[in-house]
Amino acid sequence: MSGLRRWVFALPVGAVVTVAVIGPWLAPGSITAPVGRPFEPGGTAHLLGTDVLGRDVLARVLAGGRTLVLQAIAATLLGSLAGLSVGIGTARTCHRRTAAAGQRAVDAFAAVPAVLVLLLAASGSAGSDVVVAVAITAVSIPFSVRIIHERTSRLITTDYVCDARARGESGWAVIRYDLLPGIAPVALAEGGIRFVAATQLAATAGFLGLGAGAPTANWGRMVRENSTGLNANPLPVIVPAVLLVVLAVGMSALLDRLAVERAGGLEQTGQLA
Amino acid sequence: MTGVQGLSVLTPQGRKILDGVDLDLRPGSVTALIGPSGSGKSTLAQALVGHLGPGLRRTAGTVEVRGHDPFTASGRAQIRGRLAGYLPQDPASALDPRRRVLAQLLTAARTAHPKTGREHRNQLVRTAIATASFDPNLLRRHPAQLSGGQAQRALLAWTFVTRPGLLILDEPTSGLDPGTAAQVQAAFTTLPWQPAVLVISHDHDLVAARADQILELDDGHRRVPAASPKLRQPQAITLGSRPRSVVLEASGIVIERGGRRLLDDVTLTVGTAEMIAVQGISGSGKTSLARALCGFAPPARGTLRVHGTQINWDAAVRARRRQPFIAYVGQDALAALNPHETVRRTLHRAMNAAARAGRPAGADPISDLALPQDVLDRTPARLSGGQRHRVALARALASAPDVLVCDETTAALDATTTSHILDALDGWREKHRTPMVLITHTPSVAARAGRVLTITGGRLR
Repeated sequence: MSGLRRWVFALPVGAVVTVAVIGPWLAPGSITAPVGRPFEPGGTAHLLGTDVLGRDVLARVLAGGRTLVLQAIAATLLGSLAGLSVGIGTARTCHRRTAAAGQRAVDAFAAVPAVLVLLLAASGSAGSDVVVAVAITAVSIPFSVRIIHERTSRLITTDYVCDARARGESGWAVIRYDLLPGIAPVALAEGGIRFVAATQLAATAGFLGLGAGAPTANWGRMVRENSTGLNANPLPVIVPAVLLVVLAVGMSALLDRLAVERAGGLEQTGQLA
Repeated sequence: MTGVQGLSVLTPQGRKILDGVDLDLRPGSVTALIGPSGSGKSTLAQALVGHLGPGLRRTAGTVEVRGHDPFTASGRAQIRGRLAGYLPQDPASALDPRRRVLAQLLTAARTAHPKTGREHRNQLVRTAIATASFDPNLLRRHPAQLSGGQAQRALLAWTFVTRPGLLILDEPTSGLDPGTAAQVQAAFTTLPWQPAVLVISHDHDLVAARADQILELDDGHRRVPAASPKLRQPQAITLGSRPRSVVLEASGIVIERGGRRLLDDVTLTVGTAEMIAVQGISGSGKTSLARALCGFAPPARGTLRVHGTQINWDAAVRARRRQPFIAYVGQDALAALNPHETVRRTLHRAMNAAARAGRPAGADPISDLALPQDVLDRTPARLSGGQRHRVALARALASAPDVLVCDETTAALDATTTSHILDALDGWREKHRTPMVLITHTPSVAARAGRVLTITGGRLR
């Protein structure tokens, strides 16, 4: 994998994340005060025009990504961590009943619809972005656990893992040197898929009005709020939607690339250099 | 036309693995490729099907198989599984573990002969397994249920099914007893469709009796073959005059495979610093016995004592309870080594594990086993087949086992290296008084052992 190809994938994702994270500091003017009539098209005064309540769209786009992106990233990282610990743990344990019970519990939880979990969590403590992130994490854990468990139970029967255990290596050394390098490509690819799902769920949460309430900007909520004015000014719908798509697709493609590299790349075919 | 012209292959560090090698393979002729371990034999063979190991670069030369260039995508599609049949060195790793042997052979037949009917393909498979001396009763098994030699013949049958114009066999008889090996050799040298055969082998009898031309590689160069080096005169070394006490004592071992009793009431004792050899025809249960002793596959019945105390049949439990460690050096060195770590870390971890378990640390085994120092920073994919076997052995020695079991460790090595390794094992035995069990098909290796036991009809005598 050439460095250039990796940049092609990393650049758009990096740009969207940067815009989302530092955007709130760059937002020109107020994000809640009306600056004109509703759905004015973009122009010199307001680059992306105004939204349903006549607020500056550029300011709201810049301000509305941080919560969502941080929610998605936090949920993906926490989900990976939980998936790795539970997945490796259930595959390694000698207590078969504990492992089976853990698996069944995870399966049962996976059957609950994600949006239901989101709604329940948000109704418990209304208006909290952290609760939304925790709910997204909880929803994604079962999938992570399943995949990591499957991969680990395959690796654990290999001759080199058996040999390490027979020699009396510590459980941690076996995980660190024998299991994790083999799990890494799978965990990366799986993390990419979950990031897409987490972005969607975070946007859905904004769309449904969960998390921080109405006047705050949120890419997911912007799509809903402004869908009535698509004819007059489509930008308040299109810009946040495009940003969400670039983020989700770009991140999963980037993690896929990393996974391929970790796995040692494609077969060498001996083309003359 | 099939062959190689002026092929040069470089490692990422710029070391030449192959340096301007020419090779002409004529239909109906057998070419033997010989040379010391790590001299580039497998690299040359793999280049014929358009594969280079990780990090390797082709810097010059051309390769052609019946007019197709394996280094182009379309050429590879024609060559692999159709024009060329390739039998790799670690056969157990090459079969799909999740499919039965018969299903894999039928797939091979369909790939190579797509326009033929089912009946014809079945006929092809039947002929191929007969030619490869593969027992038809094993067709319904999964690869994990085959012995090393059986897996090797299953793969050989695979290459025969495709009826390739070029047959590349990397150590085709390393896992076979002399009788079966002779049958298999006779088979691939008298194939009715007259393919060009390239065989890599350390078996001098095979090379001398069957090869029409011999190509010797030495450090990437083609060399005029010299007189074949002979193994040192076999002699059993009796060590010291100290009284020999029993270390390992296994009794009443019963191992069952697929409802059949493979081993029945086997008893085995090994004393301090003793080396015993276990022989038997392919599939007789040698590896099953070794894996049972080492705690990888518990037997149906039996007890195992080391230094008089009974120990568990599960290796992980042994390690947890600080019971003696019986090291296994397996037949399939590719599967035995972690593909993600360098040799240096592998050995380092083994020594740490020994220290952790309170076993005395051994000396650095790398130089003892005639491995060059630069293998330390390589991962298993960048080692030759023979080097992998020696690294697996080095790892076992570095972890200071109480008993060492070697399963065909020298089968993929040339005579000089084999003799070097056996010397190293003797030295180790003398120094650490470690008992050793060698499983081998090679009579000259077995001759180095104090006692030779043979498995026949489920009994060890």
